[in-house]
Amino acid sequence: MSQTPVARLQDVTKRIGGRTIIDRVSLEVYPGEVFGFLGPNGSGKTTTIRMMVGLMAMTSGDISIGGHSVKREYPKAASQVGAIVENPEMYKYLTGYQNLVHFARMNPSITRQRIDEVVKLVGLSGRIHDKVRKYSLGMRQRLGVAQAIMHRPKLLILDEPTNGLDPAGIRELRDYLRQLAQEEGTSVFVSSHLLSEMELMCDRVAILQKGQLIDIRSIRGETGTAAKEAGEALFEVDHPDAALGILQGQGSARIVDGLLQLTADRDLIAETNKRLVEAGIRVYGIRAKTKSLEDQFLEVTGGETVG
Amino acid sequence: MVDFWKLVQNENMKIYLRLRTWIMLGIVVLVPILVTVIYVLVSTSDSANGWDMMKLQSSILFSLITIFTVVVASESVAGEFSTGTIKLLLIRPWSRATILLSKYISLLLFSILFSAVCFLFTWGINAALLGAGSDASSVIPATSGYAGHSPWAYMSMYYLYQWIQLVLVVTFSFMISSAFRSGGLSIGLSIFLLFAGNTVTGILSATTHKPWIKYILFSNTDLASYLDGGSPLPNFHMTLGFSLAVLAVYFIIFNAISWSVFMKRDVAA
Repeated sequence: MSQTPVARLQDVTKRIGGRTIIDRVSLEVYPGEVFGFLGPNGSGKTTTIRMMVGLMAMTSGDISIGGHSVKREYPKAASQVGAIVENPEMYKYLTGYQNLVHFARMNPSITRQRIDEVVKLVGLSGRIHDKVRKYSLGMRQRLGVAQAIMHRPKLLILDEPTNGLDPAGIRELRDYLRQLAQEEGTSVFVSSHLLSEMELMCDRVAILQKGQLIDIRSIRGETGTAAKEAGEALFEVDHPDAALGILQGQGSARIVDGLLQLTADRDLIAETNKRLVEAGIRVYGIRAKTKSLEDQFLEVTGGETVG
Repeated sequence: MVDFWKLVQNENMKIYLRLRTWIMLGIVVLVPILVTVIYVLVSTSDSANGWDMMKLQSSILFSLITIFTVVVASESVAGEFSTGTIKLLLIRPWSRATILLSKYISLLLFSILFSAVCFLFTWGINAALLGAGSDASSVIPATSGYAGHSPWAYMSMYYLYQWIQLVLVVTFSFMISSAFRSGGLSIGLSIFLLFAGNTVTGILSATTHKPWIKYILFSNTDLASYLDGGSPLPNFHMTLGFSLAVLAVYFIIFNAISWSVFMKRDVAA
C-alpha cells in the first residue's frame, strides 16, 4: 500500500522492572483498513494499546498517529484517536447521555446533533437517559463505542471489543466496524484472542506472542486464492479403508480422523469422486480443508495459550 | 484548543450530579439551624450573641467542610482510578497536567461554595434568632488586631484563615490520592492531619524547644490564632508572615508531588 499510514509503531519497547513486556514491535495501520491485533492472553496486546493511547510510556521507540508523535505531541495525536481500553468503564452515577456530553466537551466541535446521531447509531436511543448503573454489559459496550466514534476519529482502537457481547451484538459490531472502515475511511485497530472473529472482521492481522510481533498477514487475500489451487480435500465416505484401497494410485491419499484426505485441485476432486462412486463407495460429503486462522495462529505460536 | 473551562465544567458535573454532594450541603445548612434552634429552646440566659454562636458553629463546620472536600478530592483522582474511568478521561486531546489542574480547581470551587453557604447560614440563622448587632466585642478578643473593627471584617478574616488551612489539608489529600491512588488512604491521612496535627505539635512544643518544630506543617495551620493576637505555638516566636511562608512551601511541595506523579505514572489495571 502506498498510502500514508494512520498509525505507525516503530520499534516500540516496554520494559517493566527488567522484564521486557513489549519487544521492538513495529507495524503500520493504513486508512480504511480493519487491522487485527491477535495474541494469546498475556502476550502484551493491551500494553501496546495503552502505549498507543498514551496511558503508558514507552521505554524506547515511538508511535505516531496521523503523523504526530504520541510522546511529543500527545494532544494532537490523541485528537485523531477514539478508543475503548479493556472494559468501557463509564461514570455509573451519570446517565448515558451525560457521559457522552462529558467526553464530547473534551473534544472540539462535537455538537448536540452529533451526540444524538451517535446514540441512534449504536441503538441506545431508548435508554440513553437512564443511569449507566442500570445498563447491561452489552449496553455499556455500545456506549463505549459511542464515546469512541463521536469525534469521527481517524483511528479507532478497540481492545477486546466483543467481550461480554452476545452473538447478535458481536455480529452487529462487526458489520458496523466494516461499514465505518469502508464508508468513512476510519482505520480500526482491534485486539482479540478470538481467532475466528478476527478472521471475519479484519483485513490484516498481526500476531503477537510474548511481546514480540511474529507475523503480519493479510486475511482477505489468502482466502480468495484458495479455491483455484490444489489444497487438501476431505471425503466423508462409508468405508474409508476400502476407499483408500481404490485410490492406491494417488500418493497423497490417507485417512485422517475417519475421513479420506488427499491433496487435489478441483478437477482431481471430481475425478476422485467419480472413481469412488463407480467402485460402490457411498460418498456423503466433500469439502476443502482450508487452513483457518486458528490453525495458522497455533502454527506460529506453537500452540501456546499463555505467553 | 477547546476552552479549559469545559474541563472544569466536567469535574463540576461529576461532583454536583451526585446525591452525596447534596447531602453534604444539607448537613452544612442544617447543623447551624438545629444548633441555634435547640439553644434558643433550652437556654435560660439571654446573653447569647449571634456572632459568638456563628463563630462557634463555623469552627465546627469548617472541620466538616474540610472532610467533605477531602472526600470529594479522593474520589476525584483515586476514585477514577478505581472505577477505571481515568482511562477514558486521559485518552482525550489534553495533557495530563491540564486534566489534573481542572480537578484541583473544581475542588477549590467546591470548598469556596461550601464555605460561602456556611457563612450565609451561620450568620442568617443566628442573626435571626439571637440577634447580631454591630457591637460584637464579645466575639473579638481584646488582644486581637481587629479589636474595635466590625464583626464582619473579623469573621471574614476568620473564614479566610480557616479556608487556607482547608486548602492545605485538601492539597495534601489530593497528593495522596494522586500518588497512591487510594481514596481510603487519602481520606484517612487527611483526617489524621486535620485532627491529630494540632495535638502532636502541642505535645512536641511542650516537651522540647528545638527550633525545627515551628517548621512542621501542623505548627502553622492554625492561622486563626494569629487573628486573636496569639500564635499557634505560644512558646515559639512566630508571625503570620512566617506561617504563611511555611505553608506556601508545603503547598508547593504537595502540588509538585501530585503533578509529577500523575504525569509520569503508567495507567494500568
